[in-house]
Amino acid sequence: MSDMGLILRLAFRNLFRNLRRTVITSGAIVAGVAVLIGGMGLVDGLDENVLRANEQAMTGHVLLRPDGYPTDGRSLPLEQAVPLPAELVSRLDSDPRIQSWTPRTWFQGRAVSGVDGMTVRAFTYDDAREAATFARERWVLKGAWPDGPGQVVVGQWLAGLLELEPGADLVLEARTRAGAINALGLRVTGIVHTGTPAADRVIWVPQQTGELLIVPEGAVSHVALRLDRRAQADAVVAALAGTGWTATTASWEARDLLALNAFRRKAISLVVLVLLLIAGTGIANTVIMAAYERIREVGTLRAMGMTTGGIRALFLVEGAVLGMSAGLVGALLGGTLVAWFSAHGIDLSGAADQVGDLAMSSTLYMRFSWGPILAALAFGVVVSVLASIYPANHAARLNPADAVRAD
Amino acid sequence: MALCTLEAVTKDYAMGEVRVPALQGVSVQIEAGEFTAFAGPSGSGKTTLLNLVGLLDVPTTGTVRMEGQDVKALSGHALGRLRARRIGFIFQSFNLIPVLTAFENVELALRLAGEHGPDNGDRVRKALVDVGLERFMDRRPSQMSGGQQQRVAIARALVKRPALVIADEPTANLDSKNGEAILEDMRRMNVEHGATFIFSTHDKMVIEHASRVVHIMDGKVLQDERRTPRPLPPRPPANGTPGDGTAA
Repeated sequence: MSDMGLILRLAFRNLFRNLRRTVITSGAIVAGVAVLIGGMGLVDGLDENVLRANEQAMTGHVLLRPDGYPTDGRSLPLEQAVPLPAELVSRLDSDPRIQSWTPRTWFQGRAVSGVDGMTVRAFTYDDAREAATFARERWVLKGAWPDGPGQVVVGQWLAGLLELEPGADLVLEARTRAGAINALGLRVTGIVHTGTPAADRVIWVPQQTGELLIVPEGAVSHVALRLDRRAQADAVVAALAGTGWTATTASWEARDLLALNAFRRKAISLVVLVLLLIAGTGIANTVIMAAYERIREVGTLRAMGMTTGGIRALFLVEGAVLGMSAGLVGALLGGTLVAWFSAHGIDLSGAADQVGDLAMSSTLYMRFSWGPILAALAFGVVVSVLASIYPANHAARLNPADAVRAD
Repeated sequence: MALCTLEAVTKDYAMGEVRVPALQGVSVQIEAGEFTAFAGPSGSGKTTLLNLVGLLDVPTTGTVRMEGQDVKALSGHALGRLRARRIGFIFQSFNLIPVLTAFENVELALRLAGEHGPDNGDRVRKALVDVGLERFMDRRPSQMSGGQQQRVAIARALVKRPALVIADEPTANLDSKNGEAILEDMRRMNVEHGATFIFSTHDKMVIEHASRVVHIMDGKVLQDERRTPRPLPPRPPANGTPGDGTAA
């Protein structure tokens, strides 16, 4: 008996015989699939968030440092900054994949505002190149970008600590590249909120002012590259090998955070696995109860000629239909959640203090993709079918002579 | 050639470490077209005998032949195929599939028999009309009375035109009026279509309809009696079914 149409019809209708039990059993699968989709959407979104934060405010798609310059992001040795070689500039300008690039010279200093002072990080920048390379249009600027010497922009978080507003004055102390101590009185023209907490903790110093403060003599510590597409980053990094400058991708710069996300992904998978194991137990229980309740029906079908394979298929399909239905509901819930937050985002600005110097965007957009949804659905069905094997075998082994007269 | 033959059949059941004999050397031959009752008290072995004739079970010793074929040589799969195509069953508790309508329950027998012809729908409808259920085709078992459910079971057993219909105490769960009507339906199928019926019973009223009564006691055939059955009354009007009209 291989009448799959008949088996499907029976399996579907049997699910509605005890609707309450079916709904309760489905709950764990619904939750498991929804958590899997939502969790993966969240972690994928975190990955994207980290990459986007780097690309849009810190590193661009590719970051160049002089060979030997520290890559930990914490120490900023000005003496290891070097002038950009003409050959490198030529290669950056001629590569069609590179839309724009901008040099930065990072340094550490001390900002003093009134009686408050604190150690800060700052960089000098070329205004035109900076505007072409980073997504300034997405940043919120209170005030204006500097248009003359002795002016700076301060990141929002830092401005809050130093109680700075546009128009305020501050003194910035730093060592020059040659090692001399220097200090400048500066006017704050703007407070910038990039959405990336790490970038909101620094001071933007235009090159013209930086020349006076740290006297870099054309030395640059970083060059951020904006590419046509993120996918080109690895190829561009490879193409820039042997220039005396070390090129890295934004994802390499965020490798610690991405590794943390990979761990989160595994943790979510573990939670989902436990949920689906619970679901599997529930489904096994439901199908075995169905098998015990329907002994006489099984006997009747066997008497009428249905084979043991047909009986086994009936219960397996019933489990699969249960898993598929519950999986679809879970996928709908999880998918809707992810789709909503991928469009509207989750505001994390309240948690900026906890984020610290990490390059993460303060708005988290979940990432919607069909892959996790299809995988979760398939997983739900597989768990349901596996859970139905024992009861299906039990039903198939019933002796029809006894089963047709069972109470 | 006899339709079904049992030769020196025994059947033992294991109860713990004890073997209990249910049938002890039974030999019976069923000819096509018979309307035979296996009669006897509870525990006499008539259900076991029906299981063997219906190929639901195999004997411990002895031979069961169906249309000349020794069933002991057949695999479980082949027995299932033989049951699906050649044997119809009517059970005491009706045993309809509750999630299927009357029409679908009857159609189920054809599908399990591997019959998927374009005339299946017409055959199912005719089978249900023959038992007076033309107005109840779309009802599920829970929406029908006991008598109506047993008629669906009769239609289900007969729709595939089986060589043999096994009825296990078909009237035991019905009141006397419905029981009588069900027996008359079965008799009509026997007389008009030549269907062979074997049924088990311990009810004297039921035995009166049989043309042959095999009395069973303690797993043995006590008496094999040929008799003249009670005359069959005229067929009732086409749109009426005794004791029906509302769901049980």
